[in-house]
Amino acid sequence: MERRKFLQNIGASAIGLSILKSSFAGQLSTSAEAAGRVVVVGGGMAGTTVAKYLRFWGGTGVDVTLVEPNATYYSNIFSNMVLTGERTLSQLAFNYSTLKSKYGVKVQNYSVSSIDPVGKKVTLSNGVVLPYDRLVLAPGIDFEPIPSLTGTAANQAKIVHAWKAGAQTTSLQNQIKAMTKSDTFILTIPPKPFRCPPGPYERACVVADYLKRTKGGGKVVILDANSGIQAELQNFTIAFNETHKGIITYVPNSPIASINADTMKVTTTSGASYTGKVINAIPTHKAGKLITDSGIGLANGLNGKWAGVNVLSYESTNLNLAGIHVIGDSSSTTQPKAGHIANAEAKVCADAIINIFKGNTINQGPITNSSCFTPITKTTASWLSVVYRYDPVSKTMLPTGNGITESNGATSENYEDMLKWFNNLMADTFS
Amino acid sequence: MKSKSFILLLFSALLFITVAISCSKDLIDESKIEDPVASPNEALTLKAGAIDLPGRLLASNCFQCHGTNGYAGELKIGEQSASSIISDINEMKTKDPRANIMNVHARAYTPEEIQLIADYISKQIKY
Repeated sequence: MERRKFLQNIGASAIGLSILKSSFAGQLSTSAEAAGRVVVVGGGMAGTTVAKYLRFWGGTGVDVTLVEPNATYYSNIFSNMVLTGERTLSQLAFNYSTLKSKYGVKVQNYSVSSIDPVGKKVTLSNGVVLPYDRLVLAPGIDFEPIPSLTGTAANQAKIVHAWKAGAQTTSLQNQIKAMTKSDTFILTIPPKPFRCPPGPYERACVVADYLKRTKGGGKVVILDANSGIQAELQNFTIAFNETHKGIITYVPNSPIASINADTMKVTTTSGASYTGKVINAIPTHKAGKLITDSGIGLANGLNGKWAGVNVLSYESTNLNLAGIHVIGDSSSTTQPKAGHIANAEAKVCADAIINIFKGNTINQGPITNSSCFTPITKTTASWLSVVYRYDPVSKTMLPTGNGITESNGATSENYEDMLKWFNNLMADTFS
Repeated sequence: MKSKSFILLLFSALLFITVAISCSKDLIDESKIEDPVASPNEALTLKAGAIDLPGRLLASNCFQCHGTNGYAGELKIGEQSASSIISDINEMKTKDPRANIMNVHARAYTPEEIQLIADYISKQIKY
């Protein structure tokens, strides 16, 4: 609102105050200050959003401390574009300064040593003890080891996932840069669930596009542990068979049995072998270490590797862990593991915690949305979107409206929309 | 237009009351009212009452692409009236969902939910 207009209205409302005040009495009483202490662990898309919105919606009575060992967050979204040189890692860097200055979130750049769910306190690696009324955990993902990875240490170090933006992204970028048109890039996709369902297929597309544009050709072999493409089936089928025809080979039902880093050979469980110049192995996922290794029973979800949560509040379904919430990729829900929906889950969690602090009932019908734009070439993109609605019968979030919907192909207009989407999503999360 | 002015007046009144209750000694300090980043506590106190409306959580599904409270990007929905938001969404419901991502989102909400979202967004201030 413009300042002058705003001040004029302030003046006008002061005159009408005595008349209007009574009509606002009801509204004001429901706006009683929320008060409580929240510790948020993990400064990714989920953790940062929940910290911001707890303060933005909850006001100054909600004391929020964000615990994140790294001072800088590198966005996984758009990190495939670093591999092909459209972005630099530093352009994907975000920090917590606005959370501190604008929202008054306290930030602790340390890791968590232990959680005491009975005494309701968290101990950090620097010895600081943070008592909480509500604890929100958003530690993202971790990986299982690659099965039978052999070779010298130096060669093994070249087998990267680059599935968390950072040093591995730079390593993979350099390896791709060194390829020639007679070389093969092997991408292995883990069994579901994995972070960002369209992401690996997107990576295959942009690497294929890069090899075609800058090397005059090359090969991309996708070894997918799953029985088929896990997201945007129509768009990626067109991308593999038409847009990147002759470069991408898609091989479903190909879980990894072993990788020899000296001979650069990948062998699948069916016995087939593939040799490449670069092997980008994305290992099987599990919840962040804090969930699997805390020793307090957080990993009670899918396969005993993810956190079971009540999606009305994201509070743990382990009844011994009352007051502990898990949001984002670590939680076990029907929703995908990705940054955009992590932002939406965080808002549901923030809203629930504020209502709990106020003694109100929590929202019984939350809606979340997942949207993801996907570059297919340097100038075109597709998208995937779905809105989820709480289903009281199954107590899960189910697709509503048009259901899981992918764009009608990849276009340059979508590519422009994608750039805006990224900027706005990151702003809604970090500033 | 008349109803919008009234909403603006109501909203300003609510804001005024919130300010008056929480920080009366700062009431005449214009700079603090105008600039939400002047001090985190001040900014949050100013907003706390105004943002506690029923459509809050529903409307927050718009913020990822349209900015917090609807004030980012090319289409600043926060500057639209409730009726204009509702008519836009209803039009999107009739269009090919695969042609535009908003056509997917428009189809996901009931008329009552769209009303709550529009009411909420049109009453928020720039943030």
